[in-house]
Amino acid sequence: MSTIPTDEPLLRVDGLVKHFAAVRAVDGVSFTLRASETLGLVGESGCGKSTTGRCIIGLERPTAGSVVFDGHVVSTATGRELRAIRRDVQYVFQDPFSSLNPLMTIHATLEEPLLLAGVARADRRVRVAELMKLVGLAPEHANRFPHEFSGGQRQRIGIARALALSPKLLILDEPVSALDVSIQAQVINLLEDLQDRLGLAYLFVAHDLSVVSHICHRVAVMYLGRIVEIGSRDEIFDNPTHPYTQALLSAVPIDDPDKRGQQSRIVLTGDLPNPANPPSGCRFRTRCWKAAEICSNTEPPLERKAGGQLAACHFAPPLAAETVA
Amino acid sequence: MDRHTPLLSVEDLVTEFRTPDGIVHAVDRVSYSVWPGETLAVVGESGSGKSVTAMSILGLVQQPPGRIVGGRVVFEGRDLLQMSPREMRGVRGKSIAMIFQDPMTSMNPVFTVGFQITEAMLAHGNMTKREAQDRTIAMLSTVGVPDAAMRFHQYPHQYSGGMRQRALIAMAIANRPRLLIADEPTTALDVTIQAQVFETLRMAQAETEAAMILITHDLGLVAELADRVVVMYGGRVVETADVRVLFHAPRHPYTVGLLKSLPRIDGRAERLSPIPGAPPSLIHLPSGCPFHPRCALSNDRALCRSERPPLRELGPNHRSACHFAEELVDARGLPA
Repeated sequence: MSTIPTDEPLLRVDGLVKHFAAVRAVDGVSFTLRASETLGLVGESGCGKSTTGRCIIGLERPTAGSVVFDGHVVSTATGRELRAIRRDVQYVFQDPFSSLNPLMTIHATLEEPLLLAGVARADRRVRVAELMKLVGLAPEHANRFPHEFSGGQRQRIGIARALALSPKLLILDEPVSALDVSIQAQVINLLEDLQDRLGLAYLFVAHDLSVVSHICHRVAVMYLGRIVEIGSRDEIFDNPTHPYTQALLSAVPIDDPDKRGQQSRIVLTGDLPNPANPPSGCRFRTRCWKAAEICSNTEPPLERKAGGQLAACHFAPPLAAETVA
Repeated sequence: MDRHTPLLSVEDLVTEFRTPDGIVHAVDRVSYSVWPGETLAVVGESGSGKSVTAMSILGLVQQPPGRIVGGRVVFEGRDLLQMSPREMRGVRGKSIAMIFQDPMTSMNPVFTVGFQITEAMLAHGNMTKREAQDRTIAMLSTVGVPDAAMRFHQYPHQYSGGMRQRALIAMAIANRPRLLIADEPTTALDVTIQAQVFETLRMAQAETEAAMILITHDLGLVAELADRVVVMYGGRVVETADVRVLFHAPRHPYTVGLLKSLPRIDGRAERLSPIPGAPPSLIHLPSGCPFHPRCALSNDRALCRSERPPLRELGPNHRSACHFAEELVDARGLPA
């Protein structure tokens, strides 16, 4: 095991590639994440955001590139080192209905990771009660089964299970998208509280940009297996420079009827190209209104724009020159 | 067109489902009207009864276990609930068309898209097969399916999700319906595709001058598309208002709660204000007002627990089912 220099981020993903046969699900993704920080990974279905999350936790073995967590190289870790990583990095799934075993009580569900980690029986009981309180569930409901809980409560159970072994990083894969609006807000608040109290880092995989804008410190926008723009929440939401980010943001319905028609919506034509056969040069060029010849010949590098964020576009202008069309 | 009578009015509709656990009161004395050409959004969370109401209108509630216990659904002067299945088939897909959430399951995978739309036209209109085919291709290009003549001969799986949903819109408007019922039409789609689809929907509606019932949980979509809004909770209508009034001066604590719990893209709010608790069980609905256990306004007042609040007139086109709606007068300016 290696030791980490003090300024090293908690998670460093470098040139991550994951191909499934011909499908280039993730094709060269790099980013870092620090303790107590939330990075949003956004993009449409098939952009590779979930696969990136799965590579980080070791559920998928990367085709190339590296994932370094807390000084450990995840892709090559085995045995004890891998178990240590798996304790510190936990995954929360989208669907609170299918990610819990219907035949296990909540107590058994929360106890399982503790059991596997060799925690003594009496300590397990205490910890289960502690976890339930932590996520806002009544400990006296520990002997109930998943079907006796509502969707929001089930997602709390999923979060409690992920927290059982005091991890440092949670990968939250669309954690609130299956929940009703009023319940969604409860879970978002819970996640924010837990981060404040426990110093957790979150990789927040989501497609709902309003939720991302609310909860994330930094945001990475993915398109066809690549990050096209990454920066702070304000850089991305206030001054997006990549045409795809601009289109994505302009597509979000604004919940104020007085602003109807005032927003100039960029409606992209066409659909996502086949990830097994991405366009040459810039992958977004087939749907981009700015595309020129250079876009089909030369892949734009992810480089720093004047506003501070990184964007991969030949035409992403210096920040001051343009706001969203 | 008579603009003084509603195109469709649902009156005191009651729909129940018998289950081993008890009777599910899915729709509990729901009333609302749709006027010619308008877009009425019906919003609510899962289990609010918004979809079952639509299924009841269309005569698509599976009986048993479902049962329409009471009420009327008057469309162009006739009660749809009294129609024979055969008469109903003449209305459905012709005067009233629907667009469902999942474009994958609303088409038959073993027939071409073109065949299915042509079929829908031939079932209701008197035209030749040739005319129907030509019109189908025209409809497909209207909704933005590229290369429509070629796409006509393709199967649903050869379409992307967004294109399939657009093809369904083409099918829905093929017979120039008077009323479109769209149940979460963009929920299964990605954001950029969602934007394409609702532009298509807007255009299709403008083209046919049909009225639309838009069933959704997405308040952003409501703000963009609706003229009027019906808010449902626990199988009942709790508030109805013009869209601006609803967003800026809501008069039901549930509506206020919904608007407050929305994360907003234009500015990072410090903290969201969720509605505490969870939606009620439709088998054991709370007594009195079904929202009272979660209500910030009720304060456990006896009236909320004991008496079902009627849907009361509070202003022009504005009704709320809250005993204390007047206390929300200062909620103007919401959401902050």
